[in-house]
Amino acid sequence: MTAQTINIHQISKFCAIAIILHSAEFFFPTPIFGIKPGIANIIILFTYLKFNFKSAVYVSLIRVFISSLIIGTFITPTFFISLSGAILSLIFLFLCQFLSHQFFSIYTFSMLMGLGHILGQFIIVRMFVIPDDGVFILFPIFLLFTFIFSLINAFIVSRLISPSN
Amino acid sequence: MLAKRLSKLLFKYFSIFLLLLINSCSNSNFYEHKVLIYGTILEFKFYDTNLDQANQAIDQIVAKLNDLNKKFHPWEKSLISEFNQTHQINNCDQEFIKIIEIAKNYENVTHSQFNPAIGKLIEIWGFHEDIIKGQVPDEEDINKILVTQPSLNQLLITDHSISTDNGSLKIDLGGMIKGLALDIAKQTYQDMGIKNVLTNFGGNIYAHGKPDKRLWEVAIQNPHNNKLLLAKLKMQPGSAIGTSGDYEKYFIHNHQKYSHLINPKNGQAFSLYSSATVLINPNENDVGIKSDVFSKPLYFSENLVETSKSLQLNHFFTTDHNNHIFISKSFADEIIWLFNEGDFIVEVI
Amino acid sequence: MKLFGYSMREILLLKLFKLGDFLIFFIFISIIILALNYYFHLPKGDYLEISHENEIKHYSLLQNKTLIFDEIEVEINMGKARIKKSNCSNQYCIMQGWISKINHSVVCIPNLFKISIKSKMLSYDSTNY
Repeated sequence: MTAQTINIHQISKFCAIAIILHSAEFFFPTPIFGIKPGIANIIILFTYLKFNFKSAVYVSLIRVFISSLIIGTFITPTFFISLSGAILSLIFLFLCQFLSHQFFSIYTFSMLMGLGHILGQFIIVRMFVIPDDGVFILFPIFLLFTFIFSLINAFIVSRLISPSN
Repeated sequence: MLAKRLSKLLFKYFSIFLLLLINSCSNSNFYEHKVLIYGTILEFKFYDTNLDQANQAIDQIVAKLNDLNKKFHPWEKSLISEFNQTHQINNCDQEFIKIIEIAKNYENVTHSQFNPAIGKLIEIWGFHEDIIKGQVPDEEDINKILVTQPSLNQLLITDHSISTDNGSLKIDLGGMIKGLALDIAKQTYQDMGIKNVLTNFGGNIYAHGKPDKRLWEVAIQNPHNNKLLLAKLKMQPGSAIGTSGDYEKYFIHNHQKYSHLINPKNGQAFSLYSSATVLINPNENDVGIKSDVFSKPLYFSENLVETSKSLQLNHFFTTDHNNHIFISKSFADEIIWLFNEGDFIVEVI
Repeated sequence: MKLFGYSMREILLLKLFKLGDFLIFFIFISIIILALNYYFHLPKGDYLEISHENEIKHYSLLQNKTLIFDEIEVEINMGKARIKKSNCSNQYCIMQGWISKINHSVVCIPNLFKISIKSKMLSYDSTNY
């Protein structure tokens, strides 16, 4: 077993966890429609930290596709919203790489990923699902919850990283 | 370092891109053009029209209006002013005669409440000058003219001349010229295949077609304050709107306002109302002329319901000197009021 | 007080967060506050726009009127408006209550019905005088 194979195994395990977390989250009740703790982001961020950006992309996208197949929302608007959120989230993660480690920690990463996620979702919703500017009224509330949850997620990631690092 | 700067730049452009995406509706398909033509502003707003075509249409319309001016200007050198001096002109062309006939027709339709033959009355009130003199004529002089009951029906019209026995008859088509210009514009657009353009001639508006998925929207000026708006409405394709008011051309004498709108029945320069606005339904003949001419009978009306019925108008309103608005039911349903609460009282009639 | 094994003091002394994080916090919170502030302090509107099955109609807010559209009843009361009655199962639209500020809206999705407050400052193409 080469190091590479071990890595692939680990990454696939992370994928699996991401899929489970994402699917489970789907069935959780939410007080306000659409607000989810985004726990899959924990795994994605963890993958990024442990391996590299490319792996995080794999984990994230595979999570979106497979989860939607499992839940049964493949090719539905929910799927595209999810996908858009994931892609934008990854783009923000990519840009975060250039931030200086002296000043920015994973909390920033997590917050910006969360921001990217809801932005991606809002764009698709505004363009295709509810073509009305009224949806942006929800933006501040989503932002607030993203803020809180992403901090919690980042904290969890930091606790996961420390023991293994 | 470079990577950091690059990522900051990317962030910036990305957010701009997002904003643009969100504001993805822009109205760049419009072409606006203004022309000043004998003291009046002519405004065009074309939608989705080839630029050359639009300019061609504008040139054609302006040329035709200049031609009209040469024929019908009430006091500068024109065919009509010549007639008004000599009460006779020959060698008129077809178009001239046709327009006189149209004017006569509308005088009859409005039972002379629109009367293009009272040019002499308008003159003695001092409105036939570029700079308004502001003289109140003697009752005697007014009566001398009224007694002859000037009317275009007193014209002897052949296919190339007009003449009259009534020495007090002077023709002034000021009350329909703007409407006529709009109809000329409409014809030009139809001939050239131009589909969507809003034409505003001295305040009179004709809505040709519509800008894509919405309708042309027109605001109406507050008759008591030209910086404020009274109302707003959407114009169905092919409709026209016109307002006659005492706030455009007037003079004040002894704290009394005298406007250029002279009542043909009594020769007086004021009325119950400050303004009268009519909206003509699309697909009526002479949409433009009607929007201009029909506001006068309403302005001088003593019974709005009767007058509007006789002219078959269902969209109109008048404002009086006490800030009352009298509006027809159909119009009230379509109009949006823009005045501040309490400035006007609206009465639906 | 200990939170996940770190005391409050430790958290605040940048053991967990770095300088740049606080910048991002600040930006986030500002956006949230500004957005909520903007939303709740919009000026009052001038007229009501009703969107129903691809038709848009306008009604002045300066009146007391009840409008009936098929199964929906809208009430306008001197500057504010609300959906009064609806045949939808959730009745969310009615629970929203009164709206009176610009760009605020109430929607009844099952009926494809939306009321929103608009300002007179919106564009128009020309002026009649």
